[in-house]
Amino acid sequence: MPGIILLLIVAVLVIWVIAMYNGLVTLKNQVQNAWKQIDVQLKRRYDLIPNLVNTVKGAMEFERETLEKVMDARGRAMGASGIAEKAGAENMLTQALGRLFAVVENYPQLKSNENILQLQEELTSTENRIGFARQFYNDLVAQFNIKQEAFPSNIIAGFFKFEKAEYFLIEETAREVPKVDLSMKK
Amino acid sequence: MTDLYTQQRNNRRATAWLIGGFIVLITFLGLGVDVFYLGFESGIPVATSLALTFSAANGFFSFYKGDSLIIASLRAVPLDFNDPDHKKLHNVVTEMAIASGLPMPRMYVILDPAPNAFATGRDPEHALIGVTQGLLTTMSREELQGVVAHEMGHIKNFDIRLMMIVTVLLGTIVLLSDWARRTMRYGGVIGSRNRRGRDKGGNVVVLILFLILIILAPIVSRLMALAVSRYREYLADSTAAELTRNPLGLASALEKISQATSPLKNAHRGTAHLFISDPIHRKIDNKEGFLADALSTHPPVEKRIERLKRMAYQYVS
Repeated sequence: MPGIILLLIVAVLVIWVIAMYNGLVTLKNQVQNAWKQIDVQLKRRYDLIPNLVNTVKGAMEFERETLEKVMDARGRAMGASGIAEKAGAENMLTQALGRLFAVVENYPQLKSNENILQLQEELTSTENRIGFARQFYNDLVAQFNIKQEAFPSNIIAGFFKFEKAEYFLIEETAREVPKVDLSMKK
Repeated sequence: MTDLYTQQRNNRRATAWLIGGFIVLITFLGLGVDVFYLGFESGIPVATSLALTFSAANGFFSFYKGDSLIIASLRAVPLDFNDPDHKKLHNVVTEMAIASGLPMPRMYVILDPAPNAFATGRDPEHALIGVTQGLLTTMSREELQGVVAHEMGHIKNFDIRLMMIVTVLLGTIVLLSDWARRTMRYGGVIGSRNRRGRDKGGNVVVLILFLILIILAPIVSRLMALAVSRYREYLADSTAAELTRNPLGLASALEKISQATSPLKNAHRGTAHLFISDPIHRKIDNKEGFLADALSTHPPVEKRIERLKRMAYQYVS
């Protein structure tokens, strides 16, 4: 009789460990997926930028420097590896783009250009998508990391050597850039 | 604060209660016709079986086809990507799908100048969002985002499934009680001798009860639908704030929507509860109190705006 009880306890424990472990694995995959979602949107932005630069180049001969800065920042962001470095490079790119759009405001013929308006809408949307993908990613990272710290799941996480996920952070300055948004208002 | 899982569980429970209550109601209607009109002569409850079979068939059909029926009745059309406004809507919906981690819903536009929006479907994988052309032209990007986030909230909380079931059941009950009423009128002529032949006393009382039920069934079921839908608007508002982290966008959108005076042409009582703001502008919507709570599909807009503005403080940091 005591043997059966012991067996039952062990069985329950095993099932519990499996459930905990699977929960952690699911979260880990969700975090990775969410990161891929950010990546998709970042790539989308890299693809849109040359279009934009080519469209405004003709009218903005005097602003060569602004355009070059955007292309530079794009190149650096594309080359960045690792979450922290990527976040930094993307912030630079966002700021460079914000400056470009601020300059575009000074060119009436550009502001009313159909192509530019479309590109601006696409970039605004991409900017927002990156923001929301980041928000979703960070929320998942928080869940995942809390699970690794909180009792009792921390035991399982420690035993199977789960690693904490890294937040995709932005600097305060980058947060002010929604100037792009303001220009879209009707 | 109600989290998502509590909300989904509540919705499941409400769904079970609704379907249970619905089956009881239908059985009552059917038995009434059986007892008072057909007189149970064959010993088989013909009308009851017919009513239950019909409503089950109708229910399943509408559950899977309901979204297309709603789209057709509102004359909504798919997006036209040459229209920059439609492109913008597509972008905003994509953003909200990313923020919520849900699959992309299908999108439709109702060619009507009254600003409004709705969501429907049976689950997040089969969901759709419809907005009016008026919404696209009057709202800024931020406001549009708030409205779309509110609709995504309905999808995420599984409100769309509950509302779909409510819509389906409502339609069936109205139809069936209509039939029952007609049968009774018809039966009143032919079957009167038949009925008078039996014991009068007890049956008359039951008959009166049954008549009252036939008349009340559509009203009762409508009240159920309204109670369900009011409460959910607040929840979808707070989900929207959570997704956009910008409650003021939705607040100012609601303000604009409430100031618009023209009603939505193709919306009617059967679809009104699906919209973000009552499309047929019933006076009762802006009232408070028990009666208003029971009779309106939507909470007063001022109250919703006030709640959103209070939420804004949480995100100021």
